[in-house]
Amino acid sequence: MRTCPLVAVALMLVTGVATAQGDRGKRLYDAHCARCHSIGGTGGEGPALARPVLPRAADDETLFDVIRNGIEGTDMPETWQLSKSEIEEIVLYVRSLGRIEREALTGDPERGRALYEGRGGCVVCHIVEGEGGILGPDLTNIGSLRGTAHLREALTDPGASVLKGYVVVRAIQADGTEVTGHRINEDSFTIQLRDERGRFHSLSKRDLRELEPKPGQSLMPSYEKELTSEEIEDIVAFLAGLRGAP
Amino acid sequence: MTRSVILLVTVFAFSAMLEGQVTYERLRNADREPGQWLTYSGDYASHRFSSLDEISRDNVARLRPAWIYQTQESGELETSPLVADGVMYLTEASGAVVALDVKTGRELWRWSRPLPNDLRTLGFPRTNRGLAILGETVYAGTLDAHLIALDAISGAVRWDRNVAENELGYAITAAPLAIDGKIIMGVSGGEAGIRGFLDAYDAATGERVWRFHTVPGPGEPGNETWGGDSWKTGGGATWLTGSYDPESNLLIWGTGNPAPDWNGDSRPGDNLYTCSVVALHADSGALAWFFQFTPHDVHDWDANQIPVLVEEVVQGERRKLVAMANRNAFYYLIDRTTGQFLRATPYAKQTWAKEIDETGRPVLLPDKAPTEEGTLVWPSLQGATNWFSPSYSPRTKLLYVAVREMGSYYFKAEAEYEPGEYFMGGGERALRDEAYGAIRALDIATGETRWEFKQLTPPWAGVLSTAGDLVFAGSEEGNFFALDATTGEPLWQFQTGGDVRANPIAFEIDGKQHIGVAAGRAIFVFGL
Repeated sequence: MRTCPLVAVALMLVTGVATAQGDRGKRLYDAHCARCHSIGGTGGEGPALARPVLPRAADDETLFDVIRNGIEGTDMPETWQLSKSEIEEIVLYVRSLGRIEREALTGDPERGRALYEGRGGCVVCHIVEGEGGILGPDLTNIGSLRGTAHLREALTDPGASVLKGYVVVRAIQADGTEVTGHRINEDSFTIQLRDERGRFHSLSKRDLRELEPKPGQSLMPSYEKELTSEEIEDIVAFLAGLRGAP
Repeated sequence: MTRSVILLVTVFAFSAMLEGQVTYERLRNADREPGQWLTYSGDYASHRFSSLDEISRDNVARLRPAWIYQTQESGELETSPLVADGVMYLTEASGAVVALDVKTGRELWRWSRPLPNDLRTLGFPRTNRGLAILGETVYAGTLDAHLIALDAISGAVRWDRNVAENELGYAITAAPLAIDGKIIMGVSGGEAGIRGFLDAYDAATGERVWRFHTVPGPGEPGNETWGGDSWKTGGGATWLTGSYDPESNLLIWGTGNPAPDWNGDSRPGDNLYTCSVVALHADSGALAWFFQFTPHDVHDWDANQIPVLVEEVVQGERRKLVAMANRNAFYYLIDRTTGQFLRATPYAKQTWAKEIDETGRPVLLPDKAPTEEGTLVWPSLQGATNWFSPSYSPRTKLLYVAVREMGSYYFKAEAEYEPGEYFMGGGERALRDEAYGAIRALDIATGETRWEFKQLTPPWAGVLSTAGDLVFAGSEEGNFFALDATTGEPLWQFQTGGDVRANPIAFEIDGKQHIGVAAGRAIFVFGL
């Protein structure tokens, strides 16, 4: 993938701040938090943390509690194995990420909105403030949840980081019927898929001839060749401004 | 009172006593009463096997719920219920003890009391794994480290003993074990730097009869395996119910990891008797023998698994054995009379030991200790298996084990002891994306895997085998299922709607076989 100079600058800033805060917090963060929140807190499977206000953690004490106890009903786990002082170091580091100057956006959000609703066809699969299709994730709040690097990657290489619930699976039934769709849920005996038309399929694994997860694939097309890099930056600028719900 | 009234009262009292009497003789011969489930693992040998065969490979597909009990306390259940004389006894997640009519699931009585606001459960969720019954009394531990004796008929408190200080991180999650006149109780708290012990209490009075420290003090053998004062905070919790050999009067009990968990610098030496199985004389608590699976552990590989007592021909001789599928990914056979190591076989992926030598000591591979940057090792912190029970079927001579196939990055950090705080010195980041689970059938004499049934994710549920040649097990996704005990072929499954994190049991209702298991926040009872 091409390197964006802005991303490089942002990473340098992150590194600089980390050193100022001491390496320990960063090391702990990279080891325990970065898998979901990404190096530098730009967001991935978990929300971006490199922002001044964290909706679930208004102050350091709440952030400590969130790290210690996790968030019920989400994938944020409790971290009972970390000591009090280790969590405090992580809190300091996460707060430092929020003070990093935000990456300047080169795109035009209004042109981005036009592309989103028009030629890009994004609205067919995504909801923003209640309007749009349901095949992809709701983007109402995406600017708060994900950093710009993640948004750019999602447009050019949508298979690079597929969210839980959007993993593509191909199943071939005993009679040869094929279903490809998002894996909505799965256990050791059954799997639930939603196909590209939004229909649910409940399949018993015993009855399947083949079940093939396709990691690194997405039902979303890549826009790398469909749009110019300027147009992609326009959409990134539009998405980065979507901060609808708190 | 007239003579006849006195007689009536006497007869009534006597018959009530007889109704609720689970004598030591009954516990010792639990296998003769397959319609009941009288002790945590089904019998003292911890086979978790039922000789009931009404539910079989031919009809298990018709198994369906008979009743469901939903708990009043929040928190997921890990309890293993008891069934005695028409009553099911169970513990809820925060420790409430409940008696149910086994025919209907309707509540007969409930005991609970508020937990302290500053309750410490360091390193584990609020949970309780079950209880013991002896005579007319049921016994349960509490999260604030008390042992409670309740009248089996009414739920009234007979006595209440403080086992240890919860302020220091001691807690109780294990089911007690009832033997002849004594209640054996282990403690949790290894992540708080407690000094572990196993206690025996007089069943009638609650007086403590003995205490065995799993970390020996100065002047006691084994203390030399701890550097400096590290023994004082050495861990070695006894947080899972052990087994009992009535013939030799030995308690066979697993012990937890040394503290701090992932940074062993402050505790040079083997750290006896952590990550071990100890055999204790039941009358005195004196140590008869021990075997240490993981000397100087730095991966949190507690030996708090179920020691399964069997007799088999090993190395050309019929022997009394302890079989244990250990958290460190090896299956061990140990001579139950002497503690002598006989053999070890890996039963899951492991990348930390080249082999186990002829004395039973692991030959370590280099660079597998936790580091600041993280060291990738199989199995993960939670081990190749954990507290959930295996099951041994004397019909197939297979030990059925729920296996977790997962690796972890282990991290090392500084650890400073503060009373009642976490004392761990590191942590892990598990490789969840590549992880999976399995039910494996191990040859009891060799540990070799005869079959496996793969699960989507690593399980937290135990296993039950039956004379119907079925193996019952559960999954994190809520499946409760039955496998063919000889082939592993899945024959039946039921979606419970909650994680299965408990051990199944078998018993009878009106002479008909049923299977019970906790899942999510409910108890499910299945019958034909």
